[in-house]
Amino acid sequence: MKSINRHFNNIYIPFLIIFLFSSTALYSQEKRNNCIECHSEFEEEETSPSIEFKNDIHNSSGVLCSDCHGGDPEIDASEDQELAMDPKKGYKKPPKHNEVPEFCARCHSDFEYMKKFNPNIRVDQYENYLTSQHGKLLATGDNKVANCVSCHKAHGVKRKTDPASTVFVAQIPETCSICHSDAEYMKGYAIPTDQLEKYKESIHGEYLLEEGDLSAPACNDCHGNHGAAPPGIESVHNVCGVCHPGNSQLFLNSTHKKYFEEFDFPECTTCHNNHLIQKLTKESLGIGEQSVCGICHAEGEVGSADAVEIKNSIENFSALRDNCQILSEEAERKGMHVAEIKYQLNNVDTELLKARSMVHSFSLENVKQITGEGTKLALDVREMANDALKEYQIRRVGLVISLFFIFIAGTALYLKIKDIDRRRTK
Amino acid sequence: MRTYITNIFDWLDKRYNIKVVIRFLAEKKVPIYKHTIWYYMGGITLLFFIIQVITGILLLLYYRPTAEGAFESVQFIMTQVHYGWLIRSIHSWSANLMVLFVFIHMFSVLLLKSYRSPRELTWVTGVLLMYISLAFGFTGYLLPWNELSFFATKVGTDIAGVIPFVGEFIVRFLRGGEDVTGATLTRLFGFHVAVLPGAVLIILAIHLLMVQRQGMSKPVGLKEVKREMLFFPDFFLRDFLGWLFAIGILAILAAVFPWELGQKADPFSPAPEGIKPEWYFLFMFQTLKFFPAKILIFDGELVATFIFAVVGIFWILVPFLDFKSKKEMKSPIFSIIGIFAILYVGIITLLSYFVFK
Amino acid sequence: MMEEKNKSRRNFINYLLGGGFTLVASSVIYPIVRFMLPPKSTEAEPMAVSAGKVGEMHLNSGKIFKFGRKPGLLIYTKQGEYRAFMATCSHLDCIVQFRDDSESIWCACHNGYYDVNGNNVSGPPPRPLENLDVIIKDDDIMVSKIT
Ligand code: HEM
Ligand code: FES
Repeated sequence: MKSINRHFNNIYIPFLIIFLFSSTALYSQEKRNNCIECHSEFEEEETSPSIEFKNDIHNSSGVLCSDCHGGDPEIDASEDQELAMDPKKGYKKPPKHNEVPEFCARCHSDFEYMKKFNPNIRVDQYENYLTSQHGKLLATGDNKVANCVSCHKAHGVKRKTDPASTVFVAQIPETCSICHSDAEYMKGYAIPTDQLEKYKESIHGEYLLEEGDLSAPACNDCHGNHGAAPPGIESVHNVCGVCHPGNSQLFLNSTHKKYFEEFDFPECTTCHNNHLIQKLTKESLGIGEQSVCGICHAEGEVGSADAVEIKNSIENFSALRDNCQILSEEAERKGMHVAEIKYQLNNVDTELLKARSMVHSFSLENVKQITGEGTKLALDVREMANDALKEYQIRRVGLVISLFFIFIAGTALYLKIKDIDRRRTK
Repeated sequence: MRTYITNIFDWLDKRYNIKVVIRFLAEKKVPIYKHTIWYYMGGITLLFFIIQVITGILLLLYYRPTAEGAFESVQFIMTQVHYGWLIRSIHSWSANLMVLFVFIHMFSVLLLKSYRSPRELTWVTGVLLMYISLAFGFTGYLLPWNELSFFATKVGTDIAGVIPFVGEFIVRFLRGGEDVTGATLTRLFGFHVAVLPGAVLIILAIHLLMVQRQGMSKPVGLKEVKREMLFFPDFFLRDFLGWLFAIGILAILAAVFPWELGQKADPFSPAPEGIKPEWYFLFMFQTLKFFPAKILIFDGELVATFIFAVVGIFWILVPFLDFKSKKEMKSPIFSIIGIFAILYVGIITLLSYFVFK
Repeated sequence: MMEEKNKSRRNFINYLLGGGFTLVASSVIYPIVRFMLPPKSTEAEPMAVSAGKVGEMHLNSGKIFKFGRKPGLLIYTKQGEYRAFMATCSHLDCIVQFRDDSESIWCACHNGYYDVNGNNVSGPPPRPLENLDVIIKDDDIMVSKIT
């Protein structure tokens, strides 16, 4: 019994010591941040620093108030406030609007310091910022432009991967719009304030905000974030080409590249718009009222014939495809099995997509080649669908024939029964 | 030709004395009165059962009872195999019609009190046949391994879990594991094509032998039947006419409303909306929902399953509990029970289609 | 006279009965026999398909093949290994292709990249490509679903 007790003590006592030590250590660490203790006594709003900071990425990485603001958090301010926020202890007043970028850059541009937190972390934000429109204007003394905290917040900074962050992809449009959609605020800058509205209508906005496809571009994907600036005319195809390499390449190799340059047309956005990028309709091709080709190619002028031909070729193909779909749906409604038809229809859709993409080569020949192949495929699909419908007819006829046989047999049976009955009554 | 047949007949007769059977059948009579029509219902049920056996065996030529292959093999049957769509559609429609006619047949013999002495055991075997028919439906439903049937089976087997002590074991037994998986499919397939058909054949044989041996019952109070007809050929031919009619209806249903296959089951996807058991389980499913979560200190579902069990046993014992009809007296209590059961099952089933959804 | 008439009538009914039932029986038996004869394609969803022949492809290349009802992508890596995937992009279902310049799989629709193991490495694709099994049988490259 005694030996067991001794054993127990041998294990128990070291544990106790470790436990006591670690808990006092924890306790003292908690205790050390007197700034928060004191500030939260008079700061009540959700957005006040001492409250917001609790969920701040700096806080959870162990960065203290004093690491940015100076002062001494170990001094209990209820005893000596002066001493806790003594400039001699490094205490600084909060930075002014134009001082913020430098203020953050003290750490964020210091790789030696930042790599402790993440060995792959970027430290070029400040540099980028200086090249941005925001940064340039700030340098001229314009204090209305955005600095770091305008987008990231000052004390509620969150990782960009945190969906609650103001700089989470799907939040970015709203964040930028705080300033950029405020007509009053933006007065004096010669830029529109309807970008968010238009973006929301656009295919990109639809995917990002409604479908939740986080790979769809937000403002920063085209404009940059820290280096935000409108893309120059000749870099548009590069910007769009990041995600649409095929179309961008076709455009670059096309005849249009040269002419667009000549006329100072902003490449892709000439036809597609910038913030209001929408799915084009069939009216967008050709030279009709709503067509984008018609912007330059009036009827009878160079290229107008090709524009009309391209439109027709795609439209005919697309109509054939729709026809296939209608037939396939009809067959499906009638209970036929259309899995194979649907698979082939998918391939037709791929061809249609390719043909529409090929428009960016502005070559009637190229477009026709694809619509030609697609049409061949679609005709096969149509035949399959028609076969299915024919098969349905055959089933109907088969049913009617066998019902007729049953009717003959039934009638004969009925007559037989009557006949037997008649004999019985006799 | 004639002589050949008589020769064979004589040869058989010498050994098995089949003339007795023939003579017996030749003298068998069926009473004719206003409810004679109900005597055809068992025969129609039998027709659908035979169709099930034939189409079932045909489907077995191509069906694969595995989680990976079941759905695809049914799809294959419906798209690649000649008349596969028809055979599968007939098997599915005829299954439903069989259950329907089992119910019609059962309620008609209940209301006519045909179960009374001396036909108690015909009733008992009949109730067993009904239970097996429902089991056929339950086990067959999962076989195409589509979304709807997968989740319906999950819910259906879950219910057994509330039974005290043995519930968990039953769920494990039915599923062949903790969850509905490929193991469940293989197992229910085994029940559907081997265990249940075996059981049905034995019980059905007894059922039919008893019916033939005892002849048709006459309703209470109809001591003297004025008119009768011979079972063979008169009744038999009429039976056949009914069968032809049923085959015609079945052909129309199967060809005009081909049975659907739906989407392949994905065990990891969330349950889709509107999972429902087959219509003949709906009244039980719905009844379960009527029960509150707790009744006194008991679990609501537990009370419900307990009541189902009691009713199920009571149903088997009907002929032994109905003392009045035993003495050839009218027994309105059992008529009322029968009518109530028909109304309850009918109304709840319709309601769960059109109101509860 | 009456007897005669009845007899011929009875005969007619019997013939009709025989004929009628023969017709019904044949319209029942015909589909059954056709059902039992094996159909043209003998497998439901092919368990394995031949994606090509050994030696057909040169190193560092890829090709699209038909895998059941969907397209598949077979690649022959620089190291001389065959790999196969479903060729539908995990982003918006475009059909991916192999790129020999970057030795990776590329989706032209939005510039999505996957590595030669099918893992999404850049661009919009949210998930890897669906992997398939490759087995070399004689000189056939057989591809099947991973089970
Ligand atoms: C697989 C299912 C069944 C088949 C194939 C079947 C078949 C038959 C047949 C052919 C008859 C003779 C004709 C007739 O009276 O209708 C019969 C009679 C009978 N069946 Fe069924 N039956 C089945 C299920 C049931 C069920 C579920 C019950 C009741 C619970 C039942 C109870 C009876 C009774 C009591 C008779 C005697 C009727 C009389 O003599 O008037 N059977 N059955
Ligand atoms: S569809 Fe492949 S990247 Fe968008």
